[in-house]
Amino acid sequence: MTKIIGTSPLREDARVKIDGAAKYVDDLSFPGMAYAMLVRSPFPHAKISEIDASHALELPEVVAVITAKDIPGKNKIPIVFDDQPCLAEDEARYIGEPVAIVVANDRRTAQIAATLVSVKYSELPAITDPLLSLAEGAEKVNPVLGNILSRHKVNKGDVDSAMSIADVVVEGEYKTGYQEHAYIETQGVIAVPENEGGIALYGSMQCPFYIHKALGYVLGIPLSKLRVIQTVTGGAFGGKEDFPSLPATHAAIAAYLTSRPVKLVMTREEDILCSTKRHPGIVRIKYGARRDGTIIACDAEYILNAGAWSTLSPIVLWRGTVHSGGPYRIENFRVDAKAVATNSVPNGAFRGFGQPQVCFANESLIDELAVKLGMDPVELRLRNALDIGLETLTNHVIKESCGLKKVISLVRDEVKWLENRSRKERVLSNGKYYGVGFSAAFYGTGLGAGGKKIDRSGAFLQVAFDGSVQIAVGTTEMGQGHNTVLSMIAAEELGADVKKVSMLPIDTSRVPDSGPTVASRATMMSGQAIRDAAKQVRKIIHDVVAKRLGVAVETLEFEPGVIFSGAKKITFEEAVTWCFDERVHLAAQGWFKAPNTEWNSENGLGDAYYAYTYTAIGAEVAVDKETGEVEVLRIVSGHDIGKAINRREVEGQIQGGAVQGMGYALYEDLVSTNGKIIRPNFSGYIIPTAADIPEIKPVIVEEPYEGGPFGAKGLGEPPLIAIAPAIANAIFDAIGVRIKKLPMTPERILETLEAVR
Amino acid sequence: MFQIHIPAVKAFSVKEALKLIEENGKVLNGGTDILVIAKEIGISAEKLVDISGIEELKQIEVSAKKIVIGGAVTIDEAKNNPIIRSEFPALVFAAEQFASPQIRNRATWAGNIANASPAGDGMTALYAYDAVIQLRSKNGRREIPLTEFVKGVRKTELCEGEIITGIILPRGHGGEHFGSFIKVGQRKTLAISKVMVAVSALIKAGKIKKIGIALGAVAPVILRLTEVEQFLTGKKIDRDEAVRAGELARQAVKAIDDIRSTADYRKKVAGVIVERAILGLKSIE
Ligand SMILES: Cc1cc2nc3c(=O)[nH]c(=O)nc-3n(C[C@H](O)[C@H](O)[C@H](O)COP(=O)(O)OP(=O)(O)OC[C@H]3O[C@@H](n4cnc5c(N)ncnc54)[C@H](O)[C@@H]3O)c2cc1C
Repeated sequence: MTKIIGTSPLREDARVKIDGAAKYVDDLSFPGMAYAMLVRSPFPHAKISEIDASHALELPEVVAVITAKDIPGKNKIPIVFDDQPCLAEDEARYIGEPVAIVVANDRRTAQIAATLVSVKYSELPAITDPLLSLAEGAEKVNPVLGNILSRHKVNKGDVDSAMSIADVVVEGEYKTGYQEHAYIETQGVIAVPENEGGIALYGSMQCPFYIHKALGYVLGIPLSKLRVIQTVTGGAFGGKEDFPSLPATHAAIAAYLTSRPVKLVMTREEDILCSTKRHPGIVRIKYGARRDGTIIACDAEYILNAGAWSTLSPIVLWRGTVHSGGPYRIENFRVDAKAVATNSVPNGAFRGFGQPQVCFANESLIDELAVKLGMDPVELRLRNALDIGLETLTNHVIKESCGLKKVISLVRDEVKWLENRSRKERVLSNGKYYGVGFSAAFYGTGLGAGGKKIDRSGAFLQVAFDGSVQIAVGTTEMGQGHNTVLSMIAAEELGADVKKVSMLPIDTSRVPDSGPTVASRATMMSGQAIRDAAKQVRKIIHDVVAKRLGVAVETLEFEPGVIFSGAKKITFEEAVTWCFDERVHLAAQGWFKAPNTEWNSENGLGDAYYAYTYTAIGAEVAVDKETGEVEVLRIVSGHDIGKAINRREVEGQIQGGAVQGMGYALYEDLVSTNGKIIRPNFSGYIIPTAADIPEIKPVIVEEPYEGGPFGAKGLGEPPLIAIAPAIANAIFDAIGVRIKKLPMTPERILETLEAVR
Repeated sequence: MFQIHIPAVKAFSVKEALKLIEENGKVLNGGTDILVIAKEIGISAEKLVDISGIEELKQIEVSAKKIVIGGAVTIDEAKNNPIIRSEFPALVFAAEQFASPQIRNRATWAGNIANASPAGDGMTALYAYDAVIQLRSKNGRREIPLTEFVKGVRKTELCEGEIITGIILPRGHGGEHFGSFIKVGQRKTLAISKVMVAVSALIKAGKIKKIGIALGAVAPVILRLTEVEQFLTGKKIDRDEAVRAGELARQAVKAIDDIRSTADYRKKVAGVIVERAILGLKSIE
């Protein structure tokens, strides 16, 4: 029986974040620090013939103006394909693309000077619509990769024959918009020159080792001379996975060339204009089923608008591809997916990573199928749901930890599905129409076959003389409770008091590379690495204790803070003192490699991931038929996550994800015309506020996964993924129209209602 | 206690403010508009004259024929005034749906008017109450009806060196004061209106004695729906009349497309909310 795992100790970072003591990157400064500001392209596509910095350099407070030709190393940002430059050289390919770096003694001057750099552009034709980019003879948008940046296919069984014998066939086209991360802290870094020509880079980030690599590229100096320090990070949601490499390299180049610390913190407008976002998507999907509801075929096409450079698009696309038919056993499955280049801001990682787009489509269509079959949509889902012994869309046979049916049933009950769905009186006392909707999803946890090479984690654990414990990993806290959860795992495995465990601050020169903090993987991967280290140290301690007590080591039992042998009992602290007396080394390195995944890139079949988190959502809404306004009344959000390490944090993730999913579904409308984002601020881009948040009821299912710490699987992303289709299905239940485009704004709802009238 | 440090010049009397504006620049009231756009329009804090603490502008004066809301009275303060509550309920409802508590504690209706956004919530309610604007400059004082004061999107009659010292609302007598305010935004709070309506009504023996209907966010300036008002005057409030009023409103609106909504949506929904606003007329207990 675990003592700490499953409880809800308070977040260790809660107090400083609430009382304002936490120091974010813009709170820090270094002696002699200068400020950098970017000169950015105002055109979606233009030739750059000349950059004249003379006017800017006339200002006495301006230190330097840096262009591509000044970059000491490669003008490349390493992500997947290395196609993106650090600074545009001959051509700019999206509005906001960095062209030059202005460095000044103060922020204000840097801002002014950036407007004084005159860049001679000649505008070139721009393609901002992915469908036009795919058209035959289209101008090449991405000079390295062409217009299809990435393509994935899965081909299982014989989809065409299965469709032809299906009793019922449904199909539809669904579109989803951009989504902005809207983290509370904008992107920001400070680069500080160090002795012997190195650079220390401080900043708000998810993946310090990505930045580490990027700095090595652009500066052309050994990684051993570079270190990256994560500052307290005010939210990320994927937006600080790949993107921070850009500002980090800009600041580092500036610091390297000027030999001064350089701060670069983006304004909100700049951040919304230039940083990565969720890819807008187009999904065409078709299901074929037997009369009894068995789905026998799924055929899908998935197109992502990737923007000018490939960033993480290949992997975002891959995750979407292998999940695109939904959490069902379907014998015949085909999908063709493309990430397409356009002259618009590059999109990148965002919580859900290519899945929310396809989930909106497939889960909306499942409800359409239910209508056509005359079947209850939850019944239909249960009939086809994945289970132990069944295979996923890509033929991965599930061997353990599959709570999908259980989570569907629990959510169905919690949302009072049967009763609410069959309500006779649909008009509420305020004149609005009531509706309830359902959705389900699965989520391959970790990087899986798409990111196999970096799916490993390192950890370091050491015990101090007073019995306190320090752990180090390279995955990061960004507001999700990472440090608290990992401290709990360390305490449980080691037998120490959780309050005495601390995480070492992230500095790439001091913490092991644990891979990126993405793909809902940190609890699983770093958790396992920490357990590995903790077990080694516990053995060292127990060997000493057994020897001193004169008992066999196998007779020892432990709980957090105490070690027993029969009636004999000593505290963890005493044991640690004994160890110091014995001069043993109370420290260990831990390592964990994700289980192998097998993948055939020809037919797209194989074990895409090693384990899956399963989700079911129930949403209740009230729709105003005359104004098109939708109020979400209640969301029931259920997830099989193997094990809830910290219950309160799990509930927090579920609730936060639901709100972000609600924003995606209903409010968040990033308008971009010809590659230009209109009104890049929070009065134009509407996210939910506290007043819009309904009751969100978490339902936690724990079907343990042998490969995860104490049975845990990943949870960071699943709570967002299936919210939009549940709301869309509820709207359909309320007013009988299907909205096929996100966000489902009042305007869109009225238009659709008019169209069917 | 958190304090926002704004290095603006603070004035302690209207006279002093007028002098400082002449030397220095622009009026800073609650700051909820001007600080947002300060960066864009390139105004630095030193160029602002803070009038939010001027005692004479913080008064709400009541006399037999009118009430005057001082130029630095916050939206929250105005909302809590007993006379405003009983006689100008639509302004109270507008305040309740305006921004968030934090913003309401700083922002003023005078600022809302000076800002002259067609999506101004307070402006719309004040249109429905035939507000008159009280102005003062070093050249003297003047009064202009709100409908004439506002010239277009962010354009007003306000002259350089002039301050809005008060908003005059004529008190109606001989009936019960009813009002309603309906706002459609992208979310429940902190939303800029896509379309909104304010209705003021004086009701006697169940009949409409006098009514003011103002539609916001549909055109460059707030619209008074005089035809609809005429149609309703003397009538009892019932569903048929409300539906008819909604139809008339829809016909009267020539809406605009912009970032927040479409012309089509605004036109349709304007009719819906006018109808609902009439049916939902109520007083504050
Ligand atoms: C988060 C947020 C939410 C908001 N929500 C809403 C909303 O729901 N509805 C809405 O209508 N508005 C909203 N606004 C806009 C703003 O709050 C209002 O327009 C408010 O009424 C402005 O008043 P203020 O006192 O803050 O004006 P300030 O910002 O101080 O001034 C605005 C302008 O008016 C001038 N001015 C102010 N007072 C005077 C005076 N007495 N004499 C002469 N000139 C003057 C200033 O010089 C300036 O040009 C919101 C703003 C924010 C930041």
